[in-house]
Amino acid sequence: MKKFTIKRKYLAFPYAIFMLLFVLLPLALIVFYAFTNADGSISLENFINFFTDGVTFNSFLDSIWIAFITTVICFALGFPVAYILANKKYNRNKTLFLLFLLPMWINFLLRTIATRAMFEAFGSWLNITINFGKGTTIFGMVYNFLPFMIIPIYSTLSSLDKSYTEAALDLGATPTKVITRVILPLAIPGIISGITMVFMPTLSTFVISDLLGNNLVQLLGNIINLEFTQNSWNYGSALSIILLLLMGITMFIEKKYNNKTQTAGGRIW
Amino acid sequence: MKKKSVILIMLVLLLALTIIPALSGCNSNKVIVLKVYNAQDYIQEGEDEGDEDVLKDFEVYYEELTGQKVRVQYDTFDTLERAYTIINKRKADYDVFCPSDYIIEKMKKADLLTPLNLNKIPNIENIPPYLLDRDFDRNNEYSVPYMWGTLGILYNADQISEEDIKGWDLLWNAKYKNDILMKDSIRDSVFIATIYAYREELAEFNKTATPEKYREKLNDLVNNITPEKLATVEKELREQYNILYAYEVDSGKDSMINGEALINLAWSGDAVWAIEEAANNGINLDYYIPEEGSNVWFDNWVIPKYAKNVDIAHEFINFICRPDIAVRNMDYIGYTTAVLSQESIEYMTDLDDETLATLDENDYTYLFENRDGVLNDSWLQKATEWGIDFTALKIPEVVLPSKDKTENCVEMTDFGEKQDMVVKMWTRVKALPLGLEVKIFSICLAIAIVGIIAYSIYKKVEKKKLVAGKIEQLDNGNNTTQNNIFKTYIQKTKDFAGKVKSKITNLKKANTKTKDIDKENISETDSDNTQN
Repeated sequence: MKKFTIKRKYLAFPYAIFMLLFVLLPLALIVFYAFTNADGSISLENFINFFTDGVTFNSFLDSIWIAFITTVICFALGFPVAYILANKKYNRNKTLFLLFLLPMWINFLLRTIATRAMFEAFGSWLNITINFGKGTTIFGMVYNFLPFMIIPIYSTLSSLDKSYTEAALDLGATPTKVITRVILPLAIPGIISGITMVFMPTLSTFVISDLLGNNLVQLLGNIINLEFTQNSWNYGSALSIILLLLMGITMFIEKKYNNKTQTAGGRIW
Repeated sequence: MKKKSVILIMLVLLLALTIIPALSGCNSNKVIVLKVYNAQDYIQEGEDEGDEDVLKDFEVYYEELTGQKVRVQYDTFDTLERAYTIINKRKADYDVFCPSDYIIEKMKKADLLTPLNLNKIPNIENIPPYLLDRDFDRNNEYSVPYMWGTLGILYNADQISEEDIKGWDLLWNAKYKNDILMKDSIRDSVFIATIYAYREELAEFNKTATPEKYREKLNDLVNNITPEKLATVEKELREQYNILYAYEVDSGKDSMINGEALINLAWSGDAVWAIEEAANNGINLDYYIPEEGSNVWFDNWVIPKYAKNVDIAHEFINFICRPDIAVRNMDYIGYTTAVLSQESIEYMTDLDDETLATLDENDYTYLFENRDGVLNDSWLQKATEWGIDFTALKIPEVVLPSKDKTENCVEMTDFGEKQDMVVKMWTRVKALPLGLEVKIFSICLAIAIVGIIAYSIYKKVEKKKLVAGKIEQLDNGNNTTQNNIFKTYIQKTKDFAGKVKSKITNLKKANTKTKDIDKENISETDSDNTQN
């Protein structure tokens, strides 16, 4: 018989085929639609419309703003939590960490609908009228994406060498200084991946703004959804491309920065 | 090696061959699948075993009729626009589809419908002339009516004061800020907003015009969209945006039942359901059709072009038009059926004394009029046979609109090529006002991006300059001690780099050698295995 070896790369074939059919092909279609107009001829009018129609660009800015606010709030809430969780004193056997993970196992749509129901219930108990809008949308986003901020920071912090903090304390740093000058800089890779993991999905979501904003909050994701349901796929595709591009840039920056910090061996600023 | 990959490919193909038929649902025991495409909960379906179920009854009926086993697959859509896209772009092979009038018109234009053979649908005689031969489908060439109704305002009768209930103004009444619900459906909202925006002009016109002329005027107003009109409508909708509680499509009914909102633009069928449910909650809801005019809509059955079982589809439509089935559907859904029979009229007039006391007697003979306003004799005869006097019936407006209301109701047509323009307008209506914080943030962001780019370019240029300067200094032969140190430093690094390079290449060579040996070993053992 002939010599024969099963190469490991064959194992990647099923996924490669899947990628080709369900990721690359749709992406190619989106690119095709984005650069053609309704008649099917090639044009850039979709991209020109994005800047000139006076609505989409504003929604785009609004989306970035809401994503930014959400990320800031998530960081402000998530970093202390991750810090406490990474401390073995409080998080023995990782039970506490598990408790923070638990909500993520519930479907995200269900969670959002439940958030709405909670708001309504609180409204009727406390006898106040809750106006669903921008505020509730941001709340829903923070609630949904907070675990994505906590987990990466937690994993960076828990793998941190404790002797750094000890050394800093020995050398006379105050506890606040230890956090700001030692722990925070060392946690940068985790923080950056946390920020991207919160920022990018909040940028494109439309379900949360629909459900918790009573359809009154129109973000870029909502416009894309509308364009696709109203049968103008070309403009919708163009907007998707713009969103994709923005995410690509964010990823690129993140990668560049993360590489830098890693080659320097987790250097301090 | 090649053989095995061939085997692998064959395996994959085999797997695909076994999976594909399973996915496409081809059954070997010859049960034909009739694909029905309709809105959710828009036909009587039994939840438990033994409940009445129109679809199951059709399966039994068809098997008794022809001996052919049929299974009805009931697929649902959330919006008609999406359903249209699925049939148009994906060429979905639904056999029966239940769209609204303006979608039928659009599908007709796009050549997406199969013409009906009305001889195969004898039960169409149960449908009164008023509902047949409408503008969107002359002579019912492509569609048969299923449900119909009007668009009106559902309001909380306990909390809305009597004097505010007039016309479409209620939906724009700032007194009820954060209590108003509007449809998140472009077609309906634009329709209503157009009538509201031109209400004064319409009222002026109505003083002198006949009902026919008024209807013509209204039709032209709402169905002939021009950019100027759209600008006026946009202003009104934008004004409304600021006092709305929510845009909704489906959730509005629940908000009304809970008392969360007080005013809702609603389709009559939804309103029937909401009024019933709210009564259980102790909330008093009511419905009215504003006198300026409104929309009368029809949900008709059609057979899409890509249908595979056209004959069974005809039989299905015929079955749905049976009086007993129609009443069952009406009872289940709450919408008004297009089938007019003794049973359905008895169902509609079956009311408790309290509601009867509040209702006026109305003339419903308009149902027997064809599109030219001529009364149909055979229908009049039918009515006398049933012993029902259609000139004086007490039926709530929400179930069956009276003649003076339908006189001011027109159908919607598709926006056609103006669709894009209207969608753009809609996004402008719903746009969030650009807040100061967003403006400041975006300016800061822009400055930051420009700053970072400028700084990195500046740094690169500086670096180049520095290196260039140094090299120039060295070339000029300025033998200062500092330069000498620099020179030797560069020389040393160069030497070091050379050493590292040669070492690496040596290592690589060694590595490949050992790898080759390893490979041979492995393939040998492999071939041993296969021989075993």
